[in-house]
Amino acid sequence: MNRPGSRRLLRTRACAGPGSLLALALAVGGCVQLKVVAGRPVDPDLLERSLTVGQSSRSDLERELGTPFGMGRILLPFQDAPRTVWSYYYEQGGLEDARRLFLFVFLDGDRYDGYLWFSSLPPEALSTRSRTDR
Amino acid sequence: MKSSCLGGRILAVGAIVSGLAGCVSVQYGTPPRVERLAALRAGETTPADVLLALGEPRGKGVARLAPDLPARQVWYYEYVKSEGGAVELKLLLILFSANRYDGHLWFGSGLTLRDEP
Repeated sequence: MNRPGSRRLLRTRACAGPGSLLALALAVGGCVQLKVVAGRPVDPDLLERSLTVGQSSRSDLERELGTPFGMGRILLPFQDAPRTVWSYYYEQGGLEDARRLFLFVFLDGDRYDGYLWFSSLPPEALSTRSRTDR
Repeated sequence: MKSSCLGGRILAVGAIVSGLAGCVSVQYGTPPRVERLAALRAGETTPADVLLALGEPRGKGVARLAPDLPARQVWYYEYVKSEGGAVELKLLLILFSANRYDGHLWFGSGLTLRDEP
């Protein structure tokens, strides 16, 4: 049943090992599977569902959103003084596609003063509601 | 026979390492059409008009910049291209207020990754 060429292929496969041959084929073909995860998911719904702009405190923010990924300052044209910025970031994906969330929270002193978030992740990847409902 | 097995494995591992180190090319999204932003009019342009001008966003979001300001819807366009050691990034945010285009923010960067001297 086996032709000479087939036997040679089988012998090569047995020698190199199926795993290494597959890895070689994937690598050469540009199909290396690579999963990338950076940061931590944060549910943007919490910004209005569990917190109140103009009322919630710094500790409320940290309790609901967790420790920020980074910090900064912002002064927009309509603001009378700079605000503190807390930043959150999450990314997941691989070689074919990767999607991310940027979430910024503004603090006026100790008070929650506003936010900006945008995300290319599917909502279910961030929602704590759907996670707890499961 | 054993040396041949070892050679096959070294070849496979080498191919993976070289692929990850410099030969992998990835691209996410499409470059935002920032040259079309001039056609948008604050307070007038509708989301449908933005869709026609800029295409489908990769994501969405919300901006509430102060307690006394209403929340604004955000459309998010992103483009990332990495080829070898070079990374190109471009992000565009479109803001809407009361279902009309209200402003935008975009930035891009090109970066070449290299070993420390």
